[in-house]
Amino acid sequence: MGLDARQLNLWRLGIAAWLALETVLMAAMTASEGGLYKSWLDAPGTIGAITTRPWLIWLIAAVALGGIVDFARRRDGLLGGIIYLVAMAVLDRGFAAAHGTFGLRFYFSGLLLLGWIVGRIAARVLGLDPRRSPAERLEVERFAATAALALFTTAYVNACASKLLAPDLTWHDADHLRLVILSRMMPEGTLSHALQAFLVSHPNAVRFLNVYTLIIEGGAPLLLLGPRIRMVWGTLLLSFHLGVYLSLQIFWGSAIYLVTLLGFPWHRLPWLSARLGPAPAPLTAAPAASRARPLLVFAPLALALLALWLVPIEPLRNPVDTNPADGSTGMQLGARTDRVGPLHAGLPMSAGWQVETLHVTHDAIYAELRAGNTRHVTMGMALASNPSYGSLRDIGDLAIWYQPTDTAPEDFAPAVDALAAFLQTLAPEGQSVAAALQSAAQADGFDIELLQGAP
Amino acid sequence: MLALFLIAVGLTVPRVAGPHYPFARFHMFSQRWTTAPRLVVRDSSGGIDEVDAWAAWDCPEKVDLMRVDLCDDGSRHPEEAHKASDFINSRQRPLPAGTPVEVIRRLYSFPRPGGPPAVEDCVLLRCKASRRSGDGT
Repeated sequence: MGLDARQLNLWRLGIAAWLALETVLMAAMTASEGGLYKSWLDAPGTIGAITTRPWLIWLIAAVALGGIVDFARRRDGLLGGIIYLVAMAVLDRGFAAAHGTFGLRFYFSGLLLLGWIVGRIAARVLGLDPRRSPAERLEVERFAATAALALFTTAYVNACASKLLAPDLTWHDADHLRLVILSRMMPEGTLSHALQAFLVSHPNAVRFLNVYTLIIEGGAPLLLLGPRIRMVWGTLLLSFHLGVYLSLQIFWGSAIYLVTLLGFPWHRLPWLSARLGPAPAPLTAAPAASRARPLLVFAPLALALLALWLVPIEPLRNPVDTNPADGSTGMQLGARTDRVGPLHAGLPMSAGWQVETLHVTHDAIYAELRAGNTRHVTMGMALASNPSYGSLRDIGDLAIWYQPTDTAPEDFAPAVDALAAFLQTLAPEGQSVAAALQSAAQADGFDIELLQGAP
Repeated sequence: MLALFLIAVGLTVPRVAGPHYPFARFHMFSQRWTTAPRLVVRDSSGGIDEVDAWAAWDCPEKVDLMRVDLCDDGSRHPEEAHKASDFINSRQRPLPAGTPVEVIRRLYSFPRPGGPPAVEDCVLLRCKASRRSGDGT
């Protein structure tokens, strides 16, 4: 990619600084929320224990910060980056337990660091040794930066692929995005409102944006092709983020910062260039990894991984199946159990559905607790990261919500009908279904006390 | 080649193993919406505003906009309802001269693809409110 030493320094330090900031943010957000749900979070064991103990959260964050300082200071180190990634993976689980959703905005920088570390390892595997000479160290860092950028772009390609593979979305469906915009309309008189109003009343403009988004996201790997294309695509990505902010009020600060850092040749600014070290000397004996070896090592692995896309992974799309491997269920933390009172794994619903795992955790439940509300139990039936909820059934004081997954609500409805009927049988006419469920659950040793109280 | 391999890793891991830091599918808004709910405040003239445009509130009791028996319109946005409840409860005080307002859930849909939006309102709450915290007493 033609990266010189000063640019590599800037990238490494810029990424490290951002990672440090995000570590503090994630720890603060987890610690401030986790303590509220102590009794509830005792259920998931280790993660619950971490999430409900602020000192432990900050200790993990301190370990992560130590790791990132090591990454920033040492151009040939591996351990600091690995420690950081492990610590943040634990912290991320705690964040998810406290907030009911994963902190995806922290993932962009994590992808970069992981790629950087993998790149350093791969360079060594291919025979480069950063301790042998400055030139070889530079080559290792180029390798690492390329790997980091490659992994970073997958965030965008994944977003593109998710839209392309969604069973009920097509690029010419303007109404989906128009509805999302309508739910996020800003007050009149603002620039955002003007743009939103224009888009809502012009479906063809929305269709154009659909296609524009797919092209920009899907083309993110072009960032790897060289400084000029990187600038062009970086600008396009920033325009995409600006558009998302103006039209949906969603600000992806992490992605915007990192694209800005990586997309443009800031190291050529004179005042910055001087601070990033001496001008790079020409490499008289430029080391290079054998071109044949990476091909032999990585090509079969890449093909094998991509071949997985040909394998249907339908079982993971079942919204009742809250298998931790299910990408569509988003949230996996909180209480996971095989039994909550009369509800248990294997309980047949109808139309072929059956309960796979009981999974009770959600922002809304926590919100209920925080607000001091005790009237309702809410059961998330099919969790996804999309914060759009539909209430399929209210059974007295118990609600069953459906959250969108790849399975359409109407296909899932028979299972909810059966579950609603089953829950209804727990309580005599006019009695609290939630209380009956709670009582039965406690008899099984599963404490859902904090989820609700008798009305 | 390493870059291609890592791109394959980044695309495959979240699909097979689900979200694990730092891998995720980033599938925001990839599930189709058929309706869009929104909590807003309607005053007596029919004007619509955000909940936080009203600085002081006087409601009959503690506000809980997440109650499942309110507006069973098949759509709910708990995060928004929770934030609005918190906002109103934290600004409750007597407002004898406050403006009568309704907190409504406005549900948007498109009965005809590409056509104008249809709007359905459901009243969640009736209170008095003031746009400035110093007014209405």
